[in-house]
Amino acid sequence: MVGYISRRLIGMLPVLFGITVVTFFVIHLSPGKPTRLQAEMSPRISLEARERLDRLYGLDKPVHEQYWQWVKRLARFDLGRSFVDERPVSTKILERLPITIAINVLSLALIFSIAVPIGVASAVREGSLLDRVSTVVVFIGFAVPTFWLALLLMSFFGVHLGWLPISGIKSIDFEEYNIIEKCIDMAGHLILPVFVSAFAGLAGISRYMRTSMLDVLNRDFIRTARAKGLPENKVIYKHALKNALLPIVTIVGLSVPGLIGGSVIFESIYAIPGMGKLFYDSVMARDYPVIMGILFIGAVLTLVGNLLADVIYACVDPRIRVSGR
Amino acid sequence: MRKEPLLEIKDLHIGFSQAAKESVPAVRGANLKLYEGEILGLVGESGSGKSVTALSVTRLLPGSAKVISGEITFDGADMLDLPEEDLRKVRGSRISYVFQDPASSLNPVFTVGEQIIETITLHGGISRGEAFDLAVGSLSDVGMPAPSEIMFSYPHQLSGGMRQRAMIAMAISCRPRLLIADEPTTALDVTVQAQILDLLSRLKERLGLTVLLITHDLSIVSRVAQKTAVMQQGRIVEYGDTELIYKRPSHPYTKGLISCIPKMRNP
Amino acid sequence: MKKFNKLAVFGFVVVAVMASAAVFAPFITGCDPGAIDLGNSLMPPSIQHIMGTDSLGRDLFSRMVYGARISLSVGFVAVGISVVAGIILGSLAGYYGGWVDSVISRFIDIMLCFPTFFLILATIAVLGPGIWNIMVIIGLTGWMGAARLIRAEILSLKEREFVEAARAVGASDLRIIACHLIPNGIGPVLVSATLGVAGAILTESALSFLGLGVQPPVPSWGNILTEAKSTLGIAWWITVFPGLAILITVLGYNLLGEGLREHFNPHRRQ
Repeated sequence: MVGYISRRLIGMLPVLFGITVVTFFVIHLSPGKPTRLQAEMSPRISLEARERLDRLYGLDKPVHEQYWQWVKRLARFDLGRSFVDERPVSTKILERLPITIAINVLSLALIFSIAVPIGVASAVREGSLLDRVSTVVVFIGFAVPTFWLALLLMSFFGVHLGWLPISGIKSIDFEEYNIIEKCIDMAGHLILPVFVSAFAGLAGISRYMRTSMLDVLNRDFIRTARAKGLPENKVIYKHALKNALLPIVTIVGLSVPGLIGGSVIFESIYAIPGMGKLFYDSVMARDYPVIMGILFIGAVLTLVGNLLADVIYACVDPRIRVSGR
Repeated sequence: MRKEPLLEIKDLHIGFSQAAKESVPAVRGANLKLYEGEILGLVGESGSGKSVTALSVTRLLPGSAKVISGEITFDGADMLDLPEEDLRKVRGSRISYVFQDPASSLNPVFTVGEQIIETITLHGGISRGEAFDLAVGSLSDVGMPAPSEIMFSYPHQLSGGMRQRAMIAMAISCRPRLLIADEPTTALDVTVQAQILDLLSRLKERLGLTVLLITHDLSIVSRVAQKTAVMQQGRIVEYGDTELIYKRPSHPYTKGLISCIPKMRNP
Repeated sequence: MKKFNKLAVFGFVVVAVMASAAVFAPFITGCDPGAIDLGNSLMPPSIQHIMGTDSLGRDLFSRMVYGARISLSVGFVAVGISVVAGIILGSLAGYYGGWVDSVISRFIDIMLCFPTFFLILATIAVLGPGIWNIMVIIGLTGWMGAARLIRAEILSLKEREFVEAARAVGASDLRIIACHLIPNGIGPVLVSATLGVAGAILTESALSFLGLGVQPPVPSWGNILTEAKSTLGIAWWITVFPGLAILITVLGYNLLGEGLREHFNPHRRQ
């Protein structure tokens, strides 16, 4: 296992390198220097000040040198300083990262607990009313724009019914609550964002689960299980399910970038102080160091998510965990 | 003295239903008698209906296949009428199966031991510890080397022959009266084929097992089966003692099958 | 199989209706979508304005119909770019193999590590918003799927006899790729393209909603919804209609895409 992980980590290095190249390339696509736009937004900056800014960010040097500067700083976990408030980019990101990760983890948990049973039930009762209805719901789920869903839920639960808070992660008098009230308050604030984040994944994963389960139910060892006299529910939930869940682990790993990217929308709408909102604000403010930093971190998180999924898969599938003789 | 057959199939008709079309017949009036303590070889080409017939004995047919008419009697009981619960009790404990491809017929995520123990505890009311010992016993019955270690192995860790032995061990673990083996050697190397066939013969002797052996290969049947039934296009066209059929086949199809067996030329 | 045929037809109908609305926009609505009429702002649906008016008194229905034009054109152009880029890179990788394949495949792997939306937003931050920009940006961030598909098809097709035959007659590599391999492997790419239009429409509307896509006053279903945020609870029609339009159009393309998938790769189960 350790060998497997180290081999994968080493294999990831070229990809990591490629990520830095693409990130740098994207930010330096614009015809002018990144500081030009920044300076244009505050026209009072004199030519002198602009040149000082350029030197500060190393923009007076040739492109490949700038790149190496940036990579060297990356290796020291230094992502530069924000254009907007001069604070270190890494600090700004680290402040916001936990919330985004927490919401994504919660939505993964939600996805799993809803999509897997639905997928299994659809497969076991293929062609039934449940199957057809859930297929229709899934297709509609694929077509719903997440930001629209967020708006609708906000309008319905927040404005019309007034049941749930629609902004931020804490109420104003949060500090005065006791522990229980704090938990309830936070939970209430998180319900809508987590649901919106999970929504797209729900449709996809339940579909994959259904396909995977149908595939497994057709395999020979299911016939063997029945031939042994096992009751049908053991056949399905013991023999079939475990096999059907294996590819889902990989699928979940592949949905990490989608979850991270989607956080921009619901964090903006629900005013959640997470990495997605920071990204959006930075884009609006053309705060390039932060944009670069988050773009890079997002890609790294995807890599880590994939690695995690593969490791979990290797642990769970005996064919990989225990090598053949 | 003629006793009652252990398994009797009378005028069995099985069809595959396809959407919007009429049922496609797979078995058209099959008749079979299997007596206790013998190995009956059911021979035929692919598509002749032999596997379907075998599966129908404990109603293991895939959803699209249906028994249209006929009777299947096992040890006096009407198999087609048996309620689900009783049917499940018969499966695995009184009638067992061995299938063609042990690589796909064993669950890849459970150890061999778990799968055998599962069968035993299902039909036994036995503790896990006892079941473990019985399982090891079954594995040594089938000639598996180091049976206690094999208990903890996963199917992918075993060779083809060992996997099939494991399947057979699982099938005989509850001492069934009838073992139905559907092409048990087809997926194996030729040398291993002989070993498995001999194993089946030995088990018949030692455990008083009755075997319905399904195959497309007549030479296999001639090696181990006392009786032979030849199936063609859903019907049994010849049935009788293996030796007699070899020497004096009556049906043209049987004659054709026999003539296909490669013979050694005298040097 | 039958169920999907019906749904695919439904998808096709939806797609056709939306496309016609887009093309014939000026003939469908009498009103000018840009006509500001502050006296009539935020009116609920009525006979005069069947979808109501927005906060500047503009007729929502005509904005929606013109919005169809915008959303669909972004969808098509973006996917067009994706498919062309994907086919080129994918066929090169599949046909030539070796280091060409390694480099391109590695590039695809790297690109797929970035959350697509992040990449798009970052590029917009650098190049600026606007309809043409986002067409290109959405296109250039979505080619990886098509590339992988065509690469896989070509890998499996290139050893077949008709390729040998073409080579024997002296056909150039380009000719073999363009005239023999790609047409035979195009099935999955078509499916991916159809589904891609759905995705592009969703992305464009999200971008326009955030103010980074189609800029007002040009109407797009997404930027009409920007206004919905501030009129939540007051004017339900501004929230409901554009969202429904996006939903139905995307659903249509998805169903059509699934139908095409069944067509190119008939159901594996019996």
